[in-house]
Order: sequence, then C-alpha cells, then structure tokens
Amino acid sequence: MTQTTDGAQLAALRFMGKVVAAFSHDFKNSLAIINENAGLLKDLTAMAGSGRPLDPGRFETLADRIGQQVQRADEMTRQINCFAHSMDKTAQEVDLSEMLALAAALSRRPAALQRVVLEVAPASEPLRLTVFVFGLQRVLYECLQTAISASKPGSQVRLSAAGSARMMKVTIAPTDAAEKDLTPPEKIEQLADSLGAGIESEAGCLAVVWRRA
Amino acid sequence: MTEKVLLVDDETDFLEVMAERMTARGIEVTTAASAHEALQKIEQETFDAVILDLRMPEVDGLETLKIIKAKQPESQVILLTGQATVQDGIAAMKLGAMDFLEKPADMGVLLEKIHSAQANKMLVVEQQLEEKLKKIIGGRGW
Repeated sequence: MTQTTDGAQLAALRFMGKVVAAFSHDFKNSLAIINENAGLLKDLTAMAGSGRPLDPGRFETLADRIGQQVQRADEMTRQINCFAHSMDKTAQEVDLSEMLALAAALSRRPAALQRVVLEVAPASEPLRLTVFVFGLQRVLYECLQTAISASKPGSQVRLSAAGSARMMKVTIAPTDAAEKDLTPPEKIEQLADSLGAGIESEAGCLAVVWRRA
Repeated sequence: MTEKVLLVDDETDFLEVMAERMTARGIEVTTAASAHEALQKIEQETFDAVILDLRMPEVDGLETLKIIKAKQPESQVILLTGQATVQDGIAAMKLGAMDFLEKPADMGVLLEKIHSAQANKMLVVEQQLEEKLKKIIGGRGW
C-alpha cells in the first residue's frame, strides 16, 4: 500500500469520523432533553404525592416535547443509516435531490456552529445519477465546509441541482459570504474526478459538474 | 443559602426544562442560549456556578471558559456536554473548570456539583479578601 493510498484512506476515515461525531453529539442532546423531561414528569408526580394537584395540560406539553425529540432522533437515525449504506456499492443509481438532502443533514452540525442555515432547493424533476455515493457525499461535504466557513453568521447556504442533456450540476451558494470567490477545497478535485465530475468556482459559489460527452 | 446558577446551552428545550427542574429544587437559575449572552450576564451579576455546554455556535465552551476565568477567577464552571473526549476534559480542567459532566447527566450528581461549587466559591472569595487585607495591612507603616 502506498503512502498516497494511506493518506486518501485516512482522509476518508476522518470524514466519517467527523460525521459520526456530529451525529452522536446531536443524539446526546436529544437524549438529554428526553431525560430531563422524564425527570420533570417524575418531579410533578412526586409533588402530586405530597398534595399538589396534577395539571393534565402540563403532562401533555411534556409528552409532546418528548415526542418531538424522539422524532428528531429517529430522523437522525435514518440519515446516519443512509450514510452508512453509502459505501455498500461502488456505483448506485441515485436521485440528486435526495443526495443534497443527505449532504445538508451531514453538515447540519458544522453549519449550526457557524450559525449558518442550509437550504436545499429540490430539482423540479428527478435527476438520476449513477455514482459512488460515499465519494459524492464527501465531495459535497468538503464543498459545503468551504461555503460554511466563508459565510457570515445568520446567513444561508443554498444547495440546488439542475440537469440537461449535456450536463448535471450541483450548486452550493452562500447568500452572504465574506469573500466573493470561493476556492474549491484542496485535495478533493482528484476524488471528484474519480466520480466523473469537476469542481468549479463561479460567481461566489461552488459547483460540482458532470458533463456528458 | 440559595445557589445562583447560570445555565448556558444552545439547545433551548434543554435550557427550559433544566431551569424548571433546578428552580423546583430551590436554585435561582438564569439561562443563556449562547456564549455572548452568557458573558453579558456574567458582566451584570455573579453566580455560584456556571454550567456550560462545550459545543456552542460561534464561541465554544472552552473559549467561553477561558474568558469567564479571566474576568472572574473565582467563578466555578462545570462543563456539561454531549461530545466529551478525554482531551476536552483535560483541556477544560487545565483552563480551570471545576468539573466535567456528560449529557444526559443525573440531576442528583449535578446538584452535588452545584453545592460544591458554591462552597468552593465562598472559599476562593474568602481567600481573595484575606489577600486584599494582607496587602492593605502590609502596605501601611503602622
């Protein structure tokens, strides 16, 4: 195994590590909220035992809060499961809009830490692409990190996909970036190339482009 | 004596329910949903303990801890986080954190830490007063 291969594998593992760490952090937050709401239910029951009247509305609010966190954790489980299966096959036919939604989910935590909101604009029609999904997600993740780092707090990064007979394109566009031009992330061009794509920097945004011969 | 606690976390649902549970246990709770808000509140009043999330938008918990300790060395800061690594724990303790707890935390354990924080703070403040007095007495030619 060459040093370059080791480096590429390490970079892929680091990407996985970052994604899993961010998700585990959000899972812990959900569990902490569920834990405290369950604790509050116990507190209220104990107070009722010592004569304080129970308020059914209060219980309903707490049950709703727990339900919301269960939903949040369930959605995160679905997303991390999709990500885990992204390396099952070296080539899978996927819908590009679904890939953008997954990419936004994988970058949700780093975006939130910069107070940047990720917005996905689904394509008007299905855009089918046969690709190594893990590689595609890594390219999108790195492009998103560049766009998030360049964005001002409180702004958005918009992800959109478009296609024609000649090409397919994903655009990652910050709405309020500190710099006009975004430099494509280093060392990711080779990976994009292996997916049959190129990374282009244009008018304050990054684009991942597949050109058809 | 009622403990005064500043609870800092960007998860507002967590802040709300923790504040309610602590208040029911006789603790005076102030909440902040960001490091900036927490630092503003620390400028305005003093707390027996600051319970701080490690990972927050813009300014993270370790950076916030550093600023708090620089402004108020007597502050007792307890890190409460969902993403704890041994390195984070060591870094926090080196920066002067009183303790480091992982989410979800046990309320009983957290309350014990808050009681210890109050006792620690009283001790540090007494020591600071003693030092001041020594300086005043030593500085005069009696």
